[in-house]
Amino acid sequence: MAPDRSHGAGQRSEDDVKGLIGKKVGMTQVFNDEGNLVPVTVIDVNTCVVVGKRTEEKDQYSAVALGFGVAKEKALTKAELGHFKKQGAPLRRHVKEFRVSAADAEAFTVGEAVKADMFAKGQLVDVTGITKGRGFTGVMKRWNFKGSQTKTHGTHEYQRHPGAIGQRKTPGRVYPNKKMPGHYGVEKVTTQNLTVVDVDVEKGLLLVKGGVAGHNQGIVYVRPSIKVAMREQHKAAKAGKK
Amino acid sequence: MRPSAIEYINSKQLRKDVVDFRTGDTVRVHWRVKEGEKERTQPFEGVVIRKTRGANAATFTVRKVSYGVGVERIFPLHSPRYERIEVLTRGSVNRNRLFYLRNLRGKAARLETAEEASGKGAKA
Repeated sequence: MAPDRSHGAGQRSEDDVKGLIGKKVGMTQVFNDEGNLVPVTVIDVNTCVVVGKRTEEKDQYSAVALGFGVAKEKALTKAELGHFKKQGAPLRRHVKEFRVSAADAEAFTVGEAVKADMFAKGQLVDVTGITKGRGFTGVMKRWNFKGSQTKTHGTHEYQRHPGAIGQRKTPGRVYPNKKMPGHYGVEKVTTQNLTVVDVDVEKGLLLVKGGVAGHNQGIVYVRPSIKVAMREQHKAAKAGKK
Repeated sequence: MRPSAIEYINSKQLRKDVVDFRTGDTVRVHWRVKEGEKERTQPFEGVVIRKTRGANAATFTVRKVSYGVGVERIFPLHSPRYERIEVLTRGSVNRNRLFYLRNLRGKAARLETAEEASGKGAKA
């Protein structure tokens, strides 16, 4: 359960943070170029369109707003409708902004579809999703506690309990953030550095290696790997110094 | 029900030249091996003791006894890595999975071929 740092936008390089909104279709296995069977998550990026743009002059930052999932007019609020109508963009259920440099933003026009070919085969991507809700769970599921180490020797109704949660008179309190039972799941999780196994532009499908947070039909955000971007930035900076 | 997008992806992966064989058959799998730059085929011959289903992820297990040691290999049925599968003999068995062969050695581990089985039936 990595803490979500995706909104630390200031740390990201402004270039190429662009991404896609998609729907997790499910998982399967495919043969890669070496002929090995690899597990993949299928992401459907059909209906992903540009629904707005943010510019340096007007908004003090540059970004494109993407929409995903066809929405009926009656399903949207009047405020939402107003945004779409003002931009002349098709109605979409989900909207998210992706930071792009002003130069890159020119490649996007409002109303135009964003295709899966934004990503290339072999590229590394970060995929963000909302994990499956697990309700109120105990410490074994939520924090991977080990549970009781014995089922006998008098242990009774204590197999999945957390055990002690603190010390004695010092400190005389339970430390903050102590791992305890509680609500688990339905949190934003980004899986970094997933390889794009295949891109099907025609069908609007993206195949990434490995699992992605969330249930099937869940909304996911696909972005180029930030670690790769940072590495390249460091390299460029080093080369610049020399 | 599986989403059609996944079915589409799976169907694209299927090999069209999959030969028909069953458990109990003796097959020779011409597996492509890469050694550095060179590529050659390495046949693996033995009895099919298991076939698993599952669209593009279907597999089969081939067992042979090599220098007295039992060797089993699992091949994906639709793998692009084999050149072809030769069916050498058709076996006649009463099980879907022939794991009992693992406990048998030598003569006991032989299987009746389909021809032998049908011949026997004709005589009786």
